[in-house]
Amino acid sequence: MGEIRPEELLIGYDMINHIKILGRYRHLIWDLAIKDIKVRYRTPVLGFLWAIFIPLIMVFIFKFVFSTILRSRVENYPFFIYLMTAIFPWTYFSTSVSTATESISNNRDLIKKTYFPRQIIPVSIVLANLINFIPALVVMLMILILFRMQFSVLIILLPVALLIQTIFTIGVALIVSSLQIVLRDVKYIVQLLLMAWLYFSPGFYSLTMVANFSERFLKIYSLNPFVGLFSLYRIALLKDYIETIPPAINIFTLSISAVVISIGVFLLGFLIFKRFESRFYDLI
Amino acid sequence: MRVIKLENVGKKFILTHQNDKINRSFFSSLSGQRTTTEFWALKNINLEVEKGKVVGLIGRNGAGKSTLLNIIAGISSPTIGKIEINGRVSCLLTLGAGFQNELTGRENIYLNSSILGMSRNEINKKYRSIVEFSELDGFLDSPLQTYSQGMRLRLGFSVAIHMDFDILLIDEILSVGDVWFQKKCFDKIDEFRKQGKTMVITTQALGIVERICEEVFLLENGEIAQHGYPQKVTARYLELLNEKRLPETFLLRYGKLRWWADKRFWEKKEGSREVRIVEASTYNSSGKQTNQFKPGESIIFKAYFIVDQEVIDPHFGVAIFREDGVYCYGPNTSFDGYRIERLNKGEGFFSIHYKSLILRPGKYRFSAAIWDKDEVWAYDYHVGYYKFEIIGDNKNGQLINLKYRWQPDSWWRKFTISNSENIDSLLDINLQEQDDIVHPDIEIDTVELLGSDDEPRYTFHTGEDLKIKLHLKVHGDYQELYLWLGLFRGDGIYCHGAIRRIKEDVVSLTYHSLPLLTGDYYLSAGIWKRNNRTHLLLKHKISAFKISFFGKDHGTVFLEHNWEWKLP
Repeated sequence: MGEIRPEELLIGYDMINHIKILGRYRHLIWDLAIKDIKVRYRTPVLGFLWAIFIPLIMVFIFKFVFSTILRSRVENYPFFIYLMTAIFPWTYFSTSVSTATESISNNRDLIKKTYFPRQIIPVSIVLANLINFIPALVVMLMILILFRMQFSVLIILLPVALLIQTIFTIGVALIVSSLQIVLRDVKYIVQLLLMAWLYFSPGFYSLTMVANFSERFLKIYSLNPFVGLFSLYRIALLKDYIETIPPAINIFTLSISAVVISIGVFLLGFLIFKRFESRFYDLI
Repeated sequence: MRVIKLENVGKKFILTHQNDKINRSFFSSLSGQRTTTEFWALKNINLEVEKGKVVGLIGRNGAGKSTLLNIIAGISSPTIGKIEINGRVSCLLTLGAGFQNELTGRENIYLNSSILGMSRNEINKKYRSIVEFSELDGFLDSPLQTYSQGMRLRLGFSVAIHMDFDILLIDEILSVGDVWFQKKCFDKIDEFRKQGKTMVITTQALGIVERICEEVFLLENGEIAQHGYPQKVTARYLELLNEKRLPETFLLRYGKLRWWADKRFWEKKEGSREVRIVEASTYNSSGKQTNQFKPGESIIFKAYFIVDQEVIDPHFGVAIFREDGVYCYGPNTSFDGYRIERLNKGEGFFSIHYKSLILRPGKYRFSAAIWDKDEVWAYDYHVGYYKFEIIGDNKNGQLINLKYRWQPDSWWRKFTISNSENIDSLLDINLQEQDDIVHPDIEIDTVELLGSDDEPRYTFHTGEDLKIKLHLKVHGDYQELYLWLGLFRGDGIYCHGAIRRIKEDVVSLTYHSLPLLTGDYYLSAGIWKRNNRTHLLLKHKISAFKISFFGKDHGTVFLEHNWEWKLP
């Protein structure tokens, strides 16, 4: 373990540097992300189409289970559309996190043999998944148009939601990728948590249902940034969605808490990552 | 200005026994039961490097050289101590780190450059030059998985040396690759040195250390055992190796080169015999088994083996000795940069193919061996077991045919490089036993040794050109005077001789891409009149020089070769 320099304990000190570095190494982040995508899709026959198929098929499965078998309904919108607006962003998050978990340990060669700030590896993984997500997003918009859904001006919130989600995802990616080196069990824990996380987010049920269940539970429940994020995506994509939110929920505070938590996790990610970075070389 | 400063640096490794990945599981970390031992790879390292200096790190395998280099590079961090680095560091530790098989050569150039820290602009600017240096122009749109190991190496090297840096760290990489590649590396290092770049080099080739380093650090068990000027430190290193009583082969590789083979061991087999060489023979280029070859013909030596017990990380070695014991050449697969991960039970073979053997006619023997990873013990070693002969006359005992050219030269020979023996060279038989002869009217005034850049030098690298320029003083006329120049190795092996009629005071002889291996060499000269069977003048050791080779190959002369094998 490396000796801790006193200034490392000041959260703000190195943090700004670590983040600035991302800007300085933007080409490398981009190159690594592009490499990741090329390597991922150069061999499969369907290639890039998988980026669209996977979330789409997930949506169909959930639709079949929850709507056709369990007869779940949401107010005002077709269940399929309601599902899609959450599941598509969710696949971006979950594939980012699960691929990032082993990103450091899979890049043994780079860690052992070259020097560049290591945070670039998980960040580039998230970027690769973001690029991967763009065509899926386009397909989603096309489906919405196909369903004759109307858009409001609030669609400008879509990039905002995407940005917050990306910041949050980077934070989580940094945490899991560094912890995985120290504790090899992390990838299994991550798998489990990702599954639980989706069920504790308002993906295939509405916030109204949660509010009806327990107001107190709702308060804790809202700490999950995906409550705010899914809501933001729906506000942006589904016209008048904002009016269907129950009065018990203040959408403004929900969004703000999503932003605050995302930035908090982002910073925490750097803190944890940098704390363990010096041990990567020895433990990998 | 100090560019590198290490203060009390130490690096501790925690070794977890057996399978460390399983041991690092949740439960064992909870229960606190760990079977670990600590091990200090580096202790108390204090080291300072001034800007523009070329510094060498030497020491045995496992002494901590690579760990230290990794710490300076910032790849690994020290457990204790302080490091100060001023300037941009570039590493030739590993060529092509992060190369992706699926991507094309071009894509890999870009990726590798940005991993090494080049900006996009910088890469765009240098792209052409990187491609030209690598000489891989036609291959850049093919995926990297179609490249040979050598091509990857070239690509990696080209990218690495195009990075702007203040401090260059060079690990053992110089010992891999072919002669072409090593020469290119060496030229580049020379160029960097002239530009005043700071360099830290680790290598086992002490000749190189002595030639290019200004200061050398000797590492032993993770500590700096000595530092100072090269000759002093390399001498200490050799002593250290002797003290440790390392196997003879080890010395051979790192220390005093053994000039002559101990013929008492010939036709013996040694080894622990997990793997057995069952049959071996020599073949000519058309695949016919034979023991007789013409000069310059290609030779294939092929050995079949049986693996009785699985071994890990072995390597194959083949050596050629001349019948009188001269160690001609002994490469092995590990020196050549190949790694054989394991030999499973079963049968296989390995073969070495010399495209054109430049050895002079005579009787020779092959040794064949399968060694463990460090060449400390042999699984099977057949010493001087397999005989072959190169047909022809070789009365004067020269070892090899070399490419050389005299200057000034007749116009029709200006464009050809002679590679044949000199028929007149019968006066150089048994010269060793003759004393110097002085002549009142003929004198060798000065002898200059020049590199390919026409600068005087005393150390040459294997594969470089060597130019010998003689200034003679001849009173009277030159009628029918002949000059002989002999190239000897320090221990008296007569490597090559060249003869020419002299007409002027200044004569020069250029050896092209001299394939001699590391060692001390000297030149002798003789002058006689045509049809006169004795020398008018004979002078031993008119000049001496050193040759250094980046690789570790044993012997006297580098012979172009290819390996081939089939593993069980």
